[in-house]
Formats: sequence, C-alpha cells, structure tokens
Amino acid sequence: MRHIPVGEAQVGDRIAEAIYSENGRVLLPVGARLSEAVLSRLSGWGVDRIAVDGEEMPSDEQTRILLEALDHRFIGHEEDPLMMRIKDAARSHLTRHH
Amino acid sequence: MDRDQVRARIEEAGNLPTLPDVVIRIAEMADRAETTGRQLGLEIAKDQVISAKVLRLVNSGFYGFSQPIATVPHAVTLLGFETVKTLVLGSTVLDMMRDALPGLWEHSMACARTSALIAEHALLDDVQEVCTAGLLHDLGKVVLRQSMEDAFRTVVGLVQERDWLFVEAEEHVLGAHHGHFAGWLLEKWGLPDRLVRPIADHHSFHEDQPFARSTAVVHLADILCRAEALGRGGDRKIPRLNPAALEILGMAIDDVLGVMERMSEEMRDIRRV
Repeated sequence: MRHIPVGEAQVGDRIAEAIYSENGRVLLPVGARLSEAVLSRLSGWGVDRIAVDGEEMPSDEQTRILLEALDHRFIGHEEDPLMMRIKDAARSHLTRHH
Repeated sequence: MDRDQVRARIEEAGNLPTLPDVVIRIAEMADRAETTGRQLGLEIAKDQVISAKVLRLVNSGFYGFSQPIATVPHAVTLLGFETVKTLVLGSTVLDMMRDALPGLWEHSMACARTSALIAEHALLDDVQEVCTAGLLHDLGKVVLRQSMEDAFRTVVGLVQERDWLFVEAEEHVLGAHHGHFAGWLLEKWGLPDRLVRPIADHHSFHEDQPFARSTAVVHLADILCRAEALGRGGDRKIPRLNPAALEILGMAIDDVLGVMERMSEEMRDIRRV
C-alpha cells in the first residue's frame, strides 16, 4: 500500500483503504479503481491523502530525490546571497517533512 | 512571428477559454455601480456549476477563512466584487490548468496562499485581490497551450532539452512570455489593472511599474513556491529574486524566511515535487 497526496493519484489506481466523508459515509470502498470523474471530485470532498495499491517509497529515498531537485533548481544562483538563504531554508523544510 | 502577431493569435484564438454568457452577464453586473453584493451573489447562485466552483475556490484554504463559506452572497460580502468576478472568470480556465502541465494546479494553489501570507506580512490593502493574482499568475501557460499548441510544444521541448526556465523558452520562441499572454487575455476580459498587472509582470518586476507592490508579492510568492517544491511550474529551474521586490515590500530576508516557515507549516496538503 502506498499513501499519496491526492494530486499524485492516477486514473486506474486501486483504492487500498476506504475513503470516508466527514460524516462517516463511505465515498470509495477498498478495491475501487479511480476514474477521471472520481479523481476530479476527490479534493472537492476534502480528501488530502489516499492509500492506493503499490510499494511505499522509502522516505529517505523521497528526501534524496527532493534534495537533488532542489540543488538542480538553484544552479546558477550560487553567487546570489538572497537566493542561497532561500535555498537553505527550503532544504531544512524538505528534510524536516520527509 | 513578432510580438504583435503573437498577441493577435492569442486574442483571436477560437479555442481559448470562451466565456459562457452567464459569466459575461455576471462580470457586467459586477462592473455596474448600482449592483448590490446581494444581487451579484444571487445571480451567480443561479448557475450551479459556477457557484460550486466559486465556493470550492473560496473554501480551498488559501483565503484563510476560519469558517466554511456556504453561500455565494456570503462569499461576495467577504471577498468583494472584483475578486468574485475574477474567480467566476478564472473558474472557466482553472480546470484547463490541471491538463496543461503536471503540477501546475498545485503550484497555482500554493502561490495563491503564499501571496496572501506575503501580502498580510507587508500590510497590503487588498490581500484577497493579490491572492487571486497569485492563483492566476501562470494562466498564460494555459493560454499558450490553448491558442498555439505547436509553439507550446516547442517551448516544452526546449525546457526539457536545454534545461531552461519556461519563461526563457517562451521568450526565445515567441518574444513574449506567459505573463504577457495572460495579461492580454485578462485585459480583453475587462479585468482591472490592479489584478492584471501583477499577473502580467510577475517575471519582469520593476519598482516603477504601476501596482509594483502587488507585483512584487506575486514575483516573490512564485519563487518561494518553487524553492519549497510546492507543485511545478513546468520547468526544473527557479528565476532569480529581484531584491527591489523585497525593498518595495519593506521586507528583509528574515521576513522572507518567516513566510517560508509558515508556508511549510500550512501547506502540508500540497504535493512536493
């Protein structure tokens, strides 16, 4: 099972944990496949994260990828002290959350 | 193709987000001085699809209301005519944003909320309006895709092959960028300059421009969202922050870091990529 933000869900993903509405009604049961229509409704239902079938990516691997991308984004800004302060702050946030 | 030709192509494109009659009627009502908030709210509420979209945007968290807003008239009271009008207009294109570039919707949401955080910090007069500008700041990327798909593909190709910023590739191919594209469309839609300028100029901030403070907010918010990896703007680089933007907002780097701290606390629901 993989826990992912709604924004990462794809059409065809299989729901691994039922999704409930705020008043406890089942919106999507285990085993349901995500359709285009359902995907576009999820965030409207107030759902932030869902569980789908698949391998959970290890969090240190996620962090490594995020930090690599961060280094890449700031290429060319090394001499800019403002940009470097922003990068350092972002680095600490990205590390903290993963 | 020169800039004027690009502009003509964008303004005349048949497949651009066209505005349904009801949206045009609402926008006209919002412009009339004698229209009351209640009348405007009721007119919007007549169209279920549009009211649902407006309420979803109003309640999506970036305006920072602590209580859910249940009715459109209430939203009009809280947000003001111009913001609601922009949301009504914007709601017809926001759906296209999801398809335009992966992560652009998340980037736009994050930029809206960040714009509000910065605007509050810098004590701007109309936080909600700046927030709306932040939401729509990359609208031009959708406009480009809808009006000139070939050019859009060339731009995306250059961004991937040469690892350029999206805005650099646009300038290279078209001599103008998504800020201009959005600006031309929004002007045509009759939105006021104080909303259009921050969107049009977020990549070309200058302290002498009209509405420079709002523009500075969106310029900074865009860069901070990219730094924090909140959604994606379609490229893998980050534009340089113009220090004059901080100056005009009366912010020091420590204030910026404070805003980033709040972003990181408040935007856990947005995917980091």
